[in-house]
Amino acid sequence: MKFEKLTANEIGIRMYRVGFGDCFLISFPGHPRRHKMLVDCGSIASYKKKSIDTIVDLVIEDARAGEADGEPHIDVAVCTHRHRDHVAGFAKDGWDKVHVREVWMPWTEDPKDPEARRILHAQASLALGLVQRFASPALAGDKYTDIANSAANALLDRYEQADELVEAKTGEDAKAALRVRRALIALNALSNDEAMETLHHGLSGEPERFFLPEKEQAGSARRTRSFTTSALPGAEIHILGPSRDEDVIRDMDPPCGKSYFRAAPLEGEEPTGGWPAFGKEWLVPSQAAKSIEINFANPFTADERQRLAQMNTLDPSILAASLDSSVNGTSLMFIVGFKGKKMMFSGDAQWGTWRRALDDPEWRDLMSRSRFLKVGHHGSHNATPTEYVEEVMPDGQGNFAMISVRPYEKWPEIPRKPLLKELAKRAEIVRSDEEGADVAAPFQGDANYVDLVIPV
Amino acid sequence: MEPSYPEPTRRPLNIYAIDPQAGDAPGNKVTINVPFERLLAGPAGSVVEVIDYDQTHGESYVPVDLERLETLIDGGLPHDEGDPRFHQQMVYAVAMRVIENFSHSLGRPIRFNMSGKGYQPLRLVPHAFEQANAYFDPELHAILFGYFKASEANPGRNLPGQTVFTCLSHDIIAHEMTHAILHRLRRYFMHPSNIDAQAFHEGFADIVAIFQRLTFREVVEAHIANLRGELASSSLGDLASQFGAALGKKQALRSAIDEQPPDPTKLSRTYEAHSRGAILLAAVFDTFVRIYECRTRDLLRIATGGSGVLPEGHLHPDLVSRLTSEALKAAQSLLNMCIRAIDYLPPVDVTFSDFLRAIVTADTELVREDRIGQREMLIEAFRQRGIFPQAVLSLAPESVRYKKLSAEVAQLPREVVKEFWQALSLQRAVERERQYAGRSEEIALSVERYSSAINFDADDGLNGIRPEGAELRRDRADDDVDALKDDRDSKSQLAVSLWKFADSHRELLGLHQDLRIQVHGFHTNLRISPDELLRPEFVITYTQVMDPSTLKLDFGGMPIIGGTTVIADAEGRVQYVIAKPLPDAADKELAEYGQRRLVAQANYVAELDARDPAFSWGSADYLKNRMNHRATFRALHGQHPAHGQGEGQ
Repeated sequence: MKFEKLTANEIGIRMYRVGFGDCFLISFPGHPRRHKMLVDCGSIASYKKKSIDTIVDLVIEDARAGEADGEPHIDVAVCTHRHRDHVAGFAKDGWDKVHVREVWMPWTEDPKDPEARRILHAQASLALGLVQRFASPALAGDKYTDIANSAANALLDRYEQADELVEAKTGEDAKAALRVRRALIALNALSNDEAMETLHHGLSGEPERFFLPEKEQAGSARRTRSFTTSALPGAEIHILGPSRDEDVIRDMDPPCGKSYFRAAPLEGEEPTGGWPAFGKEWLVPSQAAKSIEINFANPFTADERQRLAQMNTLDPSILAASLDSSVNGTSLMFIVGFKGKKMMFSGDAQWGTWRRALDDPEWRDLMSRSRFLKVGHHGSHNATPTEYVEEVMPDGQGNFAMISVRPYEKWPEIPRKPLLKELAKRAEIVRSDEEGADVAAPFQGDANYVDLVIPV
Repeated sequence: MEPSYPEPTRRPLNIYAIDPQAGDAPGNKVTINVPFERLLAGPAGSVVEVIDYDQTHGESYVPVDLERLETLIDGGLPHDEGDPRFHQQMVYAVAMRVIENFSHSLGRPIRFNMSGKGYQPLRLVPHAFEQANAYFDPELHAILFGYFKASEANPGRNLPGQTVFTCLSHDIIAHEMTHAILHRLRRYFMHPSNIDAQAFHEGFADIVAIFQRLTFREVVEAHIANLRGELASSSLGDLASQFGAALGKKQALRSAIDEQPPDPTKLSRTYEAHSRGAILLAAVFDTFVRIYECRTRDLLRIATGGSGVLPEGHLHPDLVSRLTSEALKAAQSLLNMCIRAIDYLPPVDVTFSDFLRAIVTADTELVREDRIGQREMLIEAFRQRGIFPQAVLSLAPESVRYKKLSAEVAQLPREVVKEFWQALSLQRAVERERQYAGRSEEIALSVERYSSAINFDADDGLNGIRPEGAELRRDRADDDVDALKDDRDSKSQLAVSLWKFADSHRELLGLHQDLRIQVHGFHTNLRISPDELLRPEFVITYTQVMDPSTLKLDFGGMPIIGGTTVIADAEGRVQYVIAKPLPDAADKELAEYGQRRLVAQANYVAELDARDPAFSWGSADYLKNRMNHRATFRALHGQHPAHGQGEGQ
């Protein structure tokens, strides 16, 4: 597909092969020029060693296509949420030359919203804490530490170098790999300041920033639910989430506060001590311990103290997974309608956002008429509810779904096979890791992307 | 020889009725009476023992001795946040009050059982670790209370960064104790077999915490004086205020009072266990306010010359005192109603609807005449919160109540009925000894004898009647019974009789035709009704375990359990059968219900999967056993991703 060759009756959707991440460019018919929307640009692990810099160059090149002034133009740049696998590309060079009219982000990015700032701060500090812990010298004495450290550093610099470690299966490498995989998840949630700086303050053309959905405000037209914009003439946008509902916000709150994190040692670590709850005068001296224990029917045995200690450690994998989910929970979920064709982009929206959308009769109806789906969270189970697939998703000809993913053996549920199977029953689906030659019509693939043309 | 001194019946102890944050607010620093028992330093008693071991620091704190002159005279140690011995005392006192409320309402003593060791005091650990969390751990046979630093940024009325002790919150202690007792009475309620099960655990624990606090005269009186008798809008319903504020929530952890009027559709849009539990709590709290208003209407008319409209300014202290008495009465009676309902719940797969029906049924049995219509108020309050009784014809109390069987339908074996008379005489003996004897060991022995003779649960170590036997075949069950026949232990003999009864009434009891039956629990309750009549009853629970591997559905490693609660009167006539059947139950209608339950359980597993962040990143091991991971208090209370840290209590 060539963007400049698309006709006035065609919408073009391009999924870049970013590996484990998301990057989509959509081209809408227009006059005198077509209009473009970019949805995310990031990756945490590349596809066939193609770095995110290369992807960014490709995107900018495509943004130039068909423009009379030869400059790169993106009418709307969307950041669904600030996970590295969705925004890393914005930290690269070149964006200051790209003309953008509007930037859309979830409301949790609004610097003027105190609730948004609170959530962001909580997520970022937990992520930072986790990454520091995974690559911490406090783990000294552990012979795998060096490997883990260098791998984590490698992750921070160049993801590609870590790839082999992430996949390592045996021996010392395997143990380090476990730690790296955890770091990878946590790292994803770091505040990604450089990339966010571009979205918030960078880009050319002084784009207007919108934090969606906006709060109701009497007397002014706000983008609370559905709206149109001169940046994308002919398109109608519906913002399905994230809701500002208390329950949804709770899911955005990371699992543990800082104090909790400081005190509770991670698996394999010694407790750090913390501060004493009471002064020394309240402690039972060790020589008196026996005379006190005698009072109890069941003083704690050594085994039981062990269990207690174990319960007092955090499972870093669960912590990292929860953090991941909280950030995904901020995902902007929206539907774009153009000449009756509706396309749904769900970011990595999680259960809470989906639940609210499915419970809303208007959104439910819209979803049932959306014939394109950007499958959330690389095809994992919790970003596409069964209820949506079985009860809401339209059936029949002319449905399409795109999945941007690169599988890891150790994460057997990404993408989730039963979900893909169910999706395939209802839509033509394609994955970004399918070899160019394997991509079946109506999709077209080459080394860098998978394309879809939707006639309108 | 010198004549002995009569044993005291009560021991006064100082506690915070709310928490240290409430400081000198009226009604916060109170003294409550708990049943007297001899205590060793800890305090170490016969039902609970406080072990102050701090895992984070690997240290123990000096235990309080409540038998010293200094502590006996003045309600134990005075209120002091900085003295760990006061913390130990408060944990003990609040825990004992919860136990007393349960044993009083249920009409039998509450004892805890430690796996493999029989009756053992429950361990309470006031400073277990540095965490903003507290939970009951059945395996450790302990409740672990954490402590943590208050939020630096947003600590509410706490000092930024000050240490907050979960063991100094009345509500948190009572909440965790309730979890422990409920787990003792209905072990399978922790199984997330439907959306209500774990929510019930949470909501019920909140109900006991809030309503126990509402039985403290000083707390209620202060509120009534302040709010001129108005309860509906007070902070009385706030749960764990300091804890919530310390986490930066700007408010109590949860509140029994949310929006008014309530939105009946909210329940259907609420999925998380604590949030659903809060709706249950709100429904009971609404009932409380209704009962209070109904009981005080006449008082207000008397006080206002018939208008019922209060003049401006403060209320007369006498009126405050009378209003308080009515509020206390309402709170205690509602608390009792809720606790009594536990015996009328099925042994597995509980729902809010079951709870509503159980309250109404149990209350009707004890309180025949409902003069002010409390039961109707309850049903109405539940309806307004979207909690409807299932499988009933209408919302009239007669219809919400479980169907009572006619007298001749089934009769418990004679040897079981005999237990009642034994219970009665043993209880008399205990009372006699309490009154006249001075030596506590003897009393302890009698209590032991009394409670173990007439009560047992499946985890009490009966031969063969194992709760989770691997063998599910019926022939194997018969072997067990044979083995028991040789056992001279009276409990085992009783279990055999009860098993035989169930085996010959499978259809009536909604039990599966072939699967092995476990006698899960047997209790004899001796309660006194408000009209001073003794209302004894037998409560027997049976369970059956089905192997999920034969089914095509994915249960995430959770077993499929069916079960039935049987209630019989003192003569052994079966009055109620409350069943959660399995598919292929002997009765056709019940079998269909069983099938529906099974599908619902599988759907619920899928629903939890959808919300579980660990699912995507999980290993094959986790996935296979994920439902068992979710079935722990720790997961429910702390780390569980979906809830957020500190949502636990």
